Amino acid sequence: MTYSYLEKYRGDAYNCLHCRLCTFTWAWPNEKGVWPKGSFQPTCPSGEKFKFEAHFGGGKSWLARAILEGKVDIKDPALVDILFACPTCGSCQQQCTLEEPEVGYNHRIMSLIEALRAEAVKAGSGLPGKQKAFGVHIGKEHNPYMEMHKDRLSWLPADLKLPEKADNLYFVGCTSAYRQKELARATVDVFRKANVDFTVLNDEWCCSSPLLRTGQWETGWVSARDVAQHNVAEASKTGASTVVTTCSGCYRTWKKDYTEEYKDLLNANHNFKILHTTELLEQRLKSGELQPKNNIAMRVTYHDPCHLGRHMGIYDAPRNVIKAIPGIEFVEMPRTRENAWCCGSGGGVKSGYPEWALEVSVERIKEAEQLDVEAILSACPFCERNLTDAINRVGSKLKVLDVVELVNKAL
Amino acid sequence: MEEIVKALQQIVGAENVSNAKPILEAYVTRAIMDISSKAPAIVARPKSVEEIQAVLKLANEKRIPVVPHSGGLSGGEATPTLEGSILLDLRRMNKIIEVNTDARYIIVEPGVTSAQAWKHMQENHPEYRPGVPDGAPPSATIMGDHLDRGFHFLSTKYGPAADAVLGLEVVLPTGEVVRTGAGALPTAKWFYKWMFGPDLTGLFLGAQGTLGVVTKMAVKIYPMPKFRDVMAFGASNWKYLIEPCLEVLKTESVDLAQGGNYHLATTRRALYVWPPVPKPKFLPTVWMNFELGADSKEELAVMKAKISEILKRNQAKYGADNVFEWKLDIKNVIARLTKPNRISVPYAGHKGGGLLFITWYMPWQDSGKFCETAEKLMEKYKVSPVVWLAAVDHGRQALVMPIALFDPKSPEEFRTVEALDREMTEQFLEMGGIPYRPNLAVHAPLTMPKSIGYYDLLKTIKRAVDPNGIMHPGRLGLLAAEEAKP
Repeated sequence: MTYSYLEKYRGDAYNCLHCRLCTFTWAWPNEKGVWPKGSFQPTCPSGEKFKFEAHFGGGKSWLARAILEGKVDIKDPALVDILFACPTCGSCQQQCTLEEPEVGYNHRIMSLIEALRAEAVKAGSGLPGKQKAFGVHIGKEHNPYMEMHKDRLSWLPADLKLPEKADNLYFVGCTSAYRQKELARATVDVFRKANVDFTVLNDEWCCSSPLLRTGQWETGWVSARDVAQHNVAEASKTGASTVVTTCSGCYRTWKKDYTEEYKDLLNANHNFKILHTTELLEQRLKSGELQPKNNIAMRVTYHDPCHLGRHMGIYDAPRNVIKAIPGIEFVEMPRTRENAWCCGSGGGVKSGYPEWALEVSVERIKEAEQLDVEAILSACPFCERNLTDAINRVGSKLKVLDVVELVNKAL
Repeated sequence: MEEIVKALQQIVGAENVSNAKPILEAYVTRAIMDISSKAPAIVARPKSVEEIQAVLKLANEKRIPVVPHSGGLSGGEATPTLEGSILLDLRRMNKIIEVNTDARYIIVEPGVTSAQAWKHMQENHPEYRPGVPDGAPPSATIMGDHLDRGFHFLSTKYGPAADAVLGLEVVLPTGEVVRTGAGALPTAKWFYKWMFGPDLTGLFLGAQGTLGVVTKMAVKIYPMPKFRDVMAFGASNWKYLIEPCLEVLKTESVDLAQGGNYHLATTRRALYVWPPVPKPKFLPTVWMNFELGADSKEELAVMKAKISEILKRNQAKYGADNVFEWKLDIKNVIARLTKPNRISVPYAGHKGGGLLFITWYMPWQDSGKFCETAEKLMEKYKVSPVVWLAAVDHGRQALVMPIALFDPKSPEEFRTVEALDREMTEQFLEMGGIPYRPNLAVHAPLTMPKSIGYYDLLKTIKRAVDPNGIMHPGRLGLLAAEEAKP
């Protein structure tokens, strides 16, 4: 059997020495050789839950070899949880390829997992829980939330009239448009207060991230290519030079998937500059165009969204924005930045394994609670959603806020 | 097989047993110790001694082979998995049971990793450090390294890791529990490896899981020096390195002495080319690091001065171009002194992930010849001549480890590496070496029958302890009982 998607990552499958560095965090010791609290901590939500080797990054790599060598059938029912019960947080790859820039070592575990998923879907397998349903819905109504496309802009304040053309395009994303509407409104508020020339798409579709992450690349019910191409075409009509997203998933998709990772698959390359809202705000803070004035006396920590941090390397912008707000006391969690524990919602887990997604998020909430903070901040509506669900599940007193919402309060 | 799976589920819980192909294939590695491993039939994850007893009784009744797996790691996954067997994944048993800083030992379960033990000591007993492997990642287990007579970061000073074992708890193949060393008596602490009579602890060290499942292990811990540093000798040839190093080792002051040829460094950073890249100017042809530890700056300075003095004497004898101090940059010093260390992964980039360790013990003064022989043979087979060399027990022994890097996508390269291993084994045996971890295909069959009574005694012990031959059959040349009967 030939695997057209998987074949591209054959070298990565074989590159794994199976050393299990992918199973725990690595934070270098200080000059006296003392390892920080966040070192050698569990880092793989999937492996920690299901325990068998196949659920860790290294095991998946060896499994990919077995599939390529015909020892495992891609339609084996036991493969479904191994491949899909994984938030593709990228921590395995992060831990594995720490020395990559120096040694030229390449092990794209996340790409490997997504290609394996695409092969499974192509063969008629996979897609646990509501994953197929959201794929079908994206095909029909252009969002994964079973909502109507006509309601996509219902969050927009009635009095707000946006221009058809502007320099910046705010790509709202499905989660902000349908589930975290207050974040969408806060983003618009902040943009207006910061005099950002912006507009939104009248016909915005899902960015395609849920499809790419769950292997629904080209199916009988949806085409990731059509979705991506539609968005790029619509964005071009606005005359914008920059696409700004508050959603880390949309950010990764626009910046990396459209132009690099899935360039061939999607054929939706573009020349837009892509900014995450925190990057835009950081720029405006530096230039003095944004000046938070209201004192917010709050001790907070920050949760790095996987799609913004490990996937795209954006760690400092949100922190710089948070620290610029008067009155804020900022503390880091032990597992932070490259070593951040995932919120559990990504990679299709929230729809495929909703209970487990909450379990993963509860672990993050407990980590934050140990710091005696009032709020956990994030920079992704999907993280905000799952962290909030976890707080509600365990009755935590923590608040969850997006960095943009905090900035809005300070302006 | 379904009947056995059900019985195992009753013992360890349904969520801890699997015979699903995708789960089983993820445990396979064709590298490090054995390049012919195959997937087991079942994997079971016991949590207690009682569960292991029940599994072994079942395996005996059904005559199914069992392969124990604590962390499975050397430089990468190393446990040779066996077709048709039950793989016992012991990582759920991961408690540190006791730390005794007066008698200076730690008692661990099989799944306690180097990282876990190191951090536990740092947070609770910072004046002591556990013997963690040097050359295996922090996910390697304390038990696996010690049980396999591994090389840890104080092996130059204190000998192979196995020498630090003070006692074991073992579930025998027939299901009985035995404790060795002082801990055999319920009233005694695990402070001493000897009990009355012979050393039964040693029976299980290096047994590669052929004689039982070790469930607890007491090992020594060591003082943490306040000051540490690294010195390194470089040389133009092995012969100019070995003798000066032996002089240094004879001072019995070095924590860790290890080095190799320049290929050891270049292959970490280069994709495969043949012939190998020329020696970069900043690297010596061969070198040896000496890691040093002391409780005062003055003490450390005295150690370093003594080593410099030895170097000067040898430079007068061999020439300063042939043996010299290799000044390490701060980055290298930090990398060497960071424990536990990250290692191995970069080698995956060289030829795409295949590597076989062909590790041999010999007297230190002979090690240069072994290294040269290894290099020549590797060049003959067009395998990058990567050789690592380390001193054990102050240079009473040496470990020479040619690392054969190959492309695991190529069946031809598998055959090449096996042929290389075979020829190297034949030559190394002639030269007086002994294989460190005899593999199934080459080392055991070539080595064991040549021993003077040793193999026969080992087989007799195996038959007595494991009458049905269920424990990891084939390892050490010890077959299942039926096949092994004379």
